[in-house]
Amino acid sequence: MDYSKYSVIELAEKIASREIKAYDVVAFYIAKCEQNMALNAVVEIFYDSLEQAKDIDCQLDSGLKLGKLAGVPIAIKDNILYTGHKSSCGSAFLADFVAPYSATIVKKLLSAGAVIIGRTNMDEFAMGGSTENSIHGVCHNAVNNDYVAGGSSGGSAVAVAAGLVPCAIGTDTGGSIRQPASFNGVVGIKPTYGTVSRYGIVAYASSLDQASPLTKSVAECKYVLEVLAGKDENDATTIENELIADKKDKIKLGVCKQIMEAYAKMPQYADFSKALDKLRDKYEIIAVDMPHITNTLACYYIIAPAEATSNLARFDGIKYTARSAKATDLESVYVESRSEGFGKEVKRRIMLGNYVLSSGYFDAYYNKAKRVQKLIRKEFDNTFDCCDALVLPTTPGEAFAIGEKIGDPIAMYMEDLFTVPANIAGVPAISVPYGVGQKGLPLGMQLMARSKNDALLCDIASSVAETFGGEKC
Amino acid sequence: MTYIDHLEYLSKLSFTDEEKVDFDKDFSRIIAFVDEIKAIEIEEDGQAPVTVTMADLRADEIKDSLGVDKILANAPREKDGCFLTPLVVE
Repeated sequence: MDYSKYSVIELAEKIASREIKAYDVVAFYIAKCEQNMALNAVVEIFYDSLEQAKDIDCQLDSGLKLGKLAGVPIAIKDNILYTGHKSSCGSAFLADFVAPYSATIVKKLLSAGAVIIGRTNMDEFAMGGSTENSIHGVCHNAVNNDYVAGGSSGGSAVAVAAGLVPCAIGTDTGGSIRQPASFNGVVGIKPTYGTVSRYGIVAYASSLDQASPLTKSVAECKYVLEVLAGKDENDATTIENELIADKKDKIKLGVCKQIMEAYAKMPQYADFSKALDKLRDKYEIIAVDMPHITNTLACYYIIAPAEATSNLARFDGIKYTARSAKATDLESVYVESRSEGFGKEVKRRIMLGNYVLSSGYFDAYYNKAKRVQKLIRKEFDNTFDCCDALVLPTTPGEAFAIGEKIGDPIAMYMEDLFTVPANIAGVPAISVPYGVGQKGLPLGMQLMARSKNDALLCDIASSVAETFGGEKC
Repeated sequence: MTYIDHLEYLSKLSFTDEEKVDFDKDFSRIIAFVDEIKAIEIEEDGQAPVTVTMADLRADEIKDSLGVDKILANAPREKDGCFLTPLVVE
């Protein structure tokens, strides 16, 4: 039986009604993962999930009513803690780290009946846009294996796109869900900051990080997000976000002038313009002015490394798995362990973070970036007074070839140009596939809405995806 | 001390001379790139956005913690229920 034809929602319904068995579905997807290990998307299969699926079948057979994801297989990114399972963050530093507790979102998934079948590849400590910086090796694009998966949640996007799992959880600090979703032709959302608890997720930049699902459709994405969302006493930044939207008859979409000017120099501009024309039949589209939106990238590459350098200070060679054999005294335990344990990009961002926080530079960089962040948030507020959602490309282009940008950090950072504004502003953003580009690889269209308007954003995204023939449920 | 040596010290990292040359090349470009924010004029008072207020914090109550065994399970070296480090105080 080919269970991949069913959406997350259909699987949950059919398992609950006993039309199909959770065990068979989980076994089917585990087999899919085993057959596609060469993609390097799922880096470890959790075989204990088969026993959990059996338990779920037993409970359902005995008449118990379980949660809305009962029996649905889900994979989690390698930076999300799941008790008794490895979480390496794609780093040599945590290669053997076994989670001593579960993240709040893992507890929520399990209590909804989801079966976590494995962990997915990622750029080390979620720093990267290609899933090439990983201890597990390069993750391959699901559509063309010579191209990158995108990142940092590349493994999650490829796992969904290649049908290894109907849903995978990723994390997004500057676009790490939406960019790989775009590169692989799947849907990925970054909810309003605070919607999903960060407790038990290895921190990169705490004021920007959010976890969320990647799926094949917006409806599935929202269905799983409803399970993940909620206030958590272990994460003071969580908020009440009910994910309910009133039906709107007339939707107004904003197109940002400054984004279009930046995009006009890029190869996919014509495709995106054509797609916008198609949307004009369905929506009112207005031009909006956001003078500082393109400054968000510089702002991001100050704030994120500053927070990362603090968050990664805990990796000291004492508490977490790895200690250098060269260490002779306390200082060398720190220095040698960190120098051996962290990869090049992580070291670069730690150094950058220390640079922008250091005496003499703090005001000019970190303080200024936080003030610019406030300015950008105001621009977003003003924009959403004029329109229901912003529409923009997810990425500058299609996926790039493996190795093409790995030696050029600025070129890699530019990949985040259109995704970071949502993280800096704290607003929800979603990427939906809208076509293929000149290289035959998927292209993603991104939508952003006002904070806490995640449900409205999903409604609009679903309707936009239908315009391009994408929605399945 | 060069700026790289200083950052290396602050970051508790160590680079070879070759790595430093490579790092310097990329780092200068990154700094030039983020320097664009210096030119942005901000008229109003620049308080940075506050993410968490005191009201968001949970009550200060004693709760069960994970326990020593679980915490030490990931330690590279441990002894007698403690993290083991090289001698710090003679």
